[in-house]
Amino acid sequence: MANPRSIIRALDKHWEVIEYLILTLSEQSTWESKTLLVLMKRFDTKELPDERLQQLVNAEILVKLPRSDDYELNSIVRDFVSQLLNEHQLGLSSDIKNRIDEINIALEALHLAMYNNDTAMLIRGIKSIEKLLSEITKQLQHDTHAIADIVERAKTADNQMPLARRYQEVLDTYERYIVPMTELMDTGASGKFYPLLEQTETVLNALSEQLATQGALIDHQRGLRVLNARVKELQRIGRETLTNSSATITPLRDEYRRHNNLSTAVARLLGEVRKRGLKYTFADSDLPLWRKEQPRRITVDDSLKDFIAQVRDYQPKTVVFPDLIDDGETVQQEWLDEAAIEQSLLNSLPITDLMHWLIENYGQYQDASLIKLYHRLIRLPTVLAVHQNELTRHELKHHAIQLYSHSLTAHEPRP
Amino acid sequence: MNLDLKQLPHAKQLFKQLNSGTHLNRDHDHQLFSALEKHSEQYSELFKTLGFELVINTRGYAYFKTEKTSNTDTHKLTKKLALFMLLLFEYQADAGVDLSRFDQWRIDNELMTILWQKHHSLLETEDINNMDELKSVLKSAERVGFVINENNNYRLLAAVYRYLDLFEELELQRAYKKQANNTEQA
Repeated sequence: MANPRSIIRALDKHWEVIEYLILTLSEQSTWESKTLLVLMKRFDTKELPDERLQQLVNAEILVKLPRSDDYELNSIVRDFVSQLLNEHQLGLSSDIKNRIDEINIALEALHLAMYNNDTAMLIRGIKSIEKLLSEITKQLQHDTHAIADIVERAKTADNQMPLARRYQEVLDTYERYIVPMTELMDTGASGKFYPLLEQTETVLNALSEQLATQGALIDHQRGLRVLNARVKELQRIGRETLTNSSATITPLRDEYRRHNNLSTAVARLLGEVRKRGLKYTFADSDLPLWRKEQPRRITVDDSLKDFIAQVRDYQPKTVVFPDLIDDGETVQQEWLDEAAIEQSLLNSLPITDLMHWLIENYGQYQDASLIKLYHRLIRLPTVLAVHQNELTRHELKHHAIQLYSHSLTAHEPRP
Repeated sequence: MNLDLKQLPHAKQLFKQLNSGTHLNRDHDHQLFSALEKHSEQYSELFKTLGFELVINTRGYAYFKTEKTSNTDTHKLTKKLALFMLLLFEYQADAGVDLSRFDQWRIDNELMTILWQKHHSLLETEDINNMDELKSVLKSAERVGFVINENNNYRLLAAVYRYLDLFEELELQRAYKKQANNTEQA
């Protein structure tokens, strides 16, 4: 086991080399000695490369792999420097799940300690839960940075690189991390994370009351308060981490999915165009249209010019109307009290010969007026008019007429 | 809504462009598009009063909506553009290029030549008979704001989403129909 001081000193002395190794960790995690020696040469120092390599190995910053000439970074150094450089590898959602299970076990132990009044066991349980909560908090924060790094790598990768390769890490992350974490942190019945935190909070509150009643040490009570605050903080961090991670990674995943949808649509439509032609693939109404500026100039049509020319030469035609001649035969229109005649007719029903009845009662009127009355009366809704079978002749004031006169009876029209 | 025309100093210029059939694009007509976005409600109301329906898409383009046009040139151009977009996007998808970043593609002479050589028979059936005519399609598309010419190379603008959305919509309709048929048969 290396001395911590010598590790810190070696880190300071060989920082450029270690920083480079950490920053390239996502591409390579082990190195051959000759690769490392080449790397040492790049960073100018007074020492020879193999001397520097030896110092790193002696300080246990680089560890030789068993049965191999390759080296890897000491895991403690790797985690420590990664944290310092904000270089994060995405953790596993199963790690958080495991820690949640461990908290469950620790809570059971707390219950037992409370029941048995075992203070030592209580303190051990609290410490254990505190450690687990702290680890979960650390991992969630760490994962947020790691996801941001993944998205950045996908966005800044070579444009010419096939999209499937470029976004592979994004898609993997979504499936491997976001989906299980969403399930884990679901606030509904299927989620484990929040119910556990709530349960932890309840147990801690009960424990706090019990300790207060028993007059426990102030330090123990303070420890509980801190732990309670940590639970609340973790609830917030959990929510934020998932929201931020989803918000960061989902647009890229959607972008990839949209790419796939679009490329499928394009391939299929083009196949259709090849088989059936463009005209039958797209209806005219489907295709994007845009306004086409209409000419704003108003011109006078030739036909309008002809019309105006004709108007200018217009001369009114003189039409000679005939003079009014009074030959004494012009019949003035008569005024008939039709309502009274109708009433009289209804009172006289049944009538066997309407024309005969009219001549008899209203023979003083002009021939035209009588005939007009005749036609009006046979259409009254309150009478039923039926043709007579025999032709009859009637003498009017000026003319004689022959007709199959109607006989009339009362008729009750249907409502 | 009370319209304060003093707040809409670009109204005249915007109307002139939109009424001429041009699509405004955020990354090309930056100033005008920003003005439009900033006072979108007022401009929509103003143009509505004049009988025009303004469409502002959040992906960065705007135009006057038109469902019918008697102009045969517009019909011809939109068909030719649809075909060009299909060919271009298929080519890029085959090359594994990210289709959503179409606004970063450079459509140079070389790319147009490849498309012409690969698909000239298909283009000819749509009355695009040589490279010059293919270029003139893009030149016309530039006038209405679908592409921009930068140093003799063309670049697609956001208004192209109108075609891409149509392609996806038609594919979606086809998938629904297929699903419905399968359900009926089952």
